[in-house]
Amino acid sequence: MKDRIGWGTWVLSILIVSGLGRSLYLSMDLRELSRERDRLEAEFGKLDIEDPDRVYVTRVKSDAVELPPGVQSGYVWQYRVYLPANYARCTVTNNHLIAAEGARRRGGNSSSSSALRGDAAETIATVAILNVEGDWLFTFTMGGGASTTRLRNSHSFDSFDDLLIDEPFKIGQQKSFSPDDAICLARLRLPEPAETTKDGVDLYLGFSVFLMDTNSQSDFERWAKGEILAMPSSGEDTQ
Amino acid sequence: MFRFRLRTLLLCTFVVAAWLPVIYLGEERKEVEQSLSLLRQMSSELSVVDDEKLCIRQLPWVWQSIRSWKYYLPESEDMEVRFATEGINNLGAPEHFHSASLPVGTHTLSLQTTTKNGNRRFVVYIDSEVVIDITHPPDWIESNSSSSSNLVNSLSTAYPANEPLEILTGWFSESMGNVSLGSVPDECDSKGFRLWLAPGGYKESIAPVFIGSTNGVLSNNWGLRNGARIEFEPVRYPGSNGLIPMVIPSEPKLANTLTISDRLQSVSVRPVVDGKPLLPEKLVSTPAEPSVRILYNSAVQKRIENATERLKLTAKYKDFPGGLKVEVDLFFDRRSPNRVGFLPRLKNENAKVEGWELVTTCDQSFYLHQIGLDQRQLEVSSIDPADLDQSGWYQVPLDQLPIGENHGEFAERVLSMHTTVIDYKKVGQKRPAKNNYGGQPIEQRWIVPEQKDIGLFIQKQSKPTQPTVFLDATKVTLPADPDEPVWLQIEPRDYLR
Repeated sequence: MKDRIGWGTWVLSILIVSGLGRSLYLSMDLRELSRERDRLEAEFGKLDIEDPDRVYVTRVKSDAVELPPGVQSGYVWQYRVYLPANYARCTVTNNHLIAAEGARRRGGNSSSSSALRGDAAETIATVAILNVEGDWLFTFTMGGGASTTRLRNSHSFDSFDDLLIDEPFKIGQQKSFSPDDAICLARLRLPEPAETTKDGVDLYLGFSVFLMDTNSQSDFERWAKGEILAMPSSGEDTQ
Repeated sequence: MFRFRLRTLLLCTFVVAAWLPVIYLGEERKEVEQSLSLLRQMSSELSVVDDEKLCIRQLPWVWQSIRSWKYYLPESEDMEVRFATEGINNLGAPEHFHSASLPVGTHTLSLQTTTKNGNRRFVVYIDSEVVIDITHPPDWIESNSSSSSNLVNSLSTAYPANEPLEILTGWFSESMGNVSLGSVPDECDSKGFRLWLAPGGYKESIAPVFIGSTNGVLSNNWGLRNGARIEFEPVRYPGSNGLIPMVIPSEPKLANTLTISDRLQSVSVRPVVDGKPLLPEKLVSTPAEPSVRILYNSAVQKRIENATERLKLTAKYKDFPGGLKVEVDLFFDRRSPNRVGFLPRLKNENAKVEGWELVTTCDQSFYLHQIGLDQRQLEVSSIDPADLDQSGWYQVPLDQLPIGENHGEFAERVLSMHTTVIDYKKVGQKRPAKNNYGGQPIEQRWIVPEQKDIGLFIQKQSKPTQPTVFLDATKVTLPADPDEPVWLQIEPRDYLR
């Protein structure tokens, strides 16, 4: 019997060649993309997620962030944030009297919440203090949402030299948190206290911003008012 | 035979071996791209992916009032940045815009939108230089909310420099005090902002003045893109069979009010035969054959596309009892965007009508209780029952009505019915929530040529059960062969606020 090459063999051969070609193309493309990712991760750091049910925050360097025109000066904190599944993001910005540590405060504050997100997600959070035409603005952007707080008239300072800028994270430092915790992303204040609470906590004119799950907001408010000393399930893990 | 099967088996194995990596690499590529997408957002570098094209990416966002993009424009190209704050719509470029030349090379483009003391300021920068600076006073728009869409993301992308590129569009939603009035449909002109790039001297495609279509998103919308339209949806409004409904989607102040009931702005065109009007409401309407529809063909489509000031369309009814074939010419005029003109005609050669009635009905929800006469306001409640005809209609003397703007051959008289109720809650009437008057006080007008054989009538509630008496219906009577349209207009009454 002659060993003829039938149409089936041709089809299978074409499939093999096209599969190999596609693999080669994808492999080269992936190598290119991976190189770019490695380069950017060397610049901005990596997020190592060991427990997908915890919150991970890494502070990245922010000198790549160009201050927009019209902004005379500014200071930026930038973070990569991993939020576990079913985390409904809530941020609270305090813009009047704050403590040097923790969440104690008195006076102005604002909060914003996002809908519960079924999947885990990684996002970028940017906090900035900006001087725009003589006005001081405290801005927060995260995952497409943004808020701006204008400095009250009672906050009197002319430059960053007058402020104590708190660094809850060092650049490149990653921390993980329980999803029930409230995470301070930025804090800045005047060096001298403006008043002292009845239980002896000094409060300073300044700003702070906290990230938490919406379900934890009521605990946070109790902490901010001094009703509790800490969030019920606080415990950060520094890596 | 055995060798044939073995070869096939081997080839199938190789096929699987060749395609398995494709599946695996595809999954890994997705993962890498996800991480990259986030990392690129943090970086400010622009990759010139094609040095013969415009390359552009969005920069990290520090302050919500300023958005920035980094771009590269080859030396051989000539482009400009264009910016507009009015006439924002999704069918074309804004008619009026500001522009500035876009320098070649790598630069940063920024748009700052701020509000200070009620003034809205828009500044476009190239690097740190101001190239466009627009400020609108507080009365430019009353708005508590806005939305925007950014069409250039953080991935460096190449675009042809010989075509326009939309970068950012935002819309303001009008409000009235603390109440948001909602946004106008995308095809209507909004106040907002649009930033885009275009080749130098590029002639923009502007949205049409009139629209009309039987399919697509704007199907069954006929008339002014920015003004009054006829919107036939017989299946959606089963009670409005036979009526010609006017809508004004470009006017958010009317949206809340006119959605309460569609009867105020729907016209019943009634041929009068043997002294009685025939009701189009009794014509049976089906989705396949509505009781009234717009006559539409390619010639009508061309007319819609080419008209710039005034448009005439024709609505055709199903046959009335007795075989009467009725059509109504509908007129839309850009100079008076909140009105529609009606001119009924009989198409039968051997039949006749004695005249026409055009009727609108309204319910108490609109609180229409005054008529504007030339020198005074007439309260509906003050009309003497002895002045009503047998059917309960009161004929308004045309010569006591104010004279309108003259768009036709004849002088016009205006019958305006309006409310002075600023806060409906103070009227003291309790009604179910669905009938709550939550909108802007409005005015309904009939504008008719000053001719002897035209009549204007109103009807008040026949059995008033409430403290204030309101209008129930209005009627215009026309001769058998009218030669000028009569106009129905709805306006919000801003000056009551």
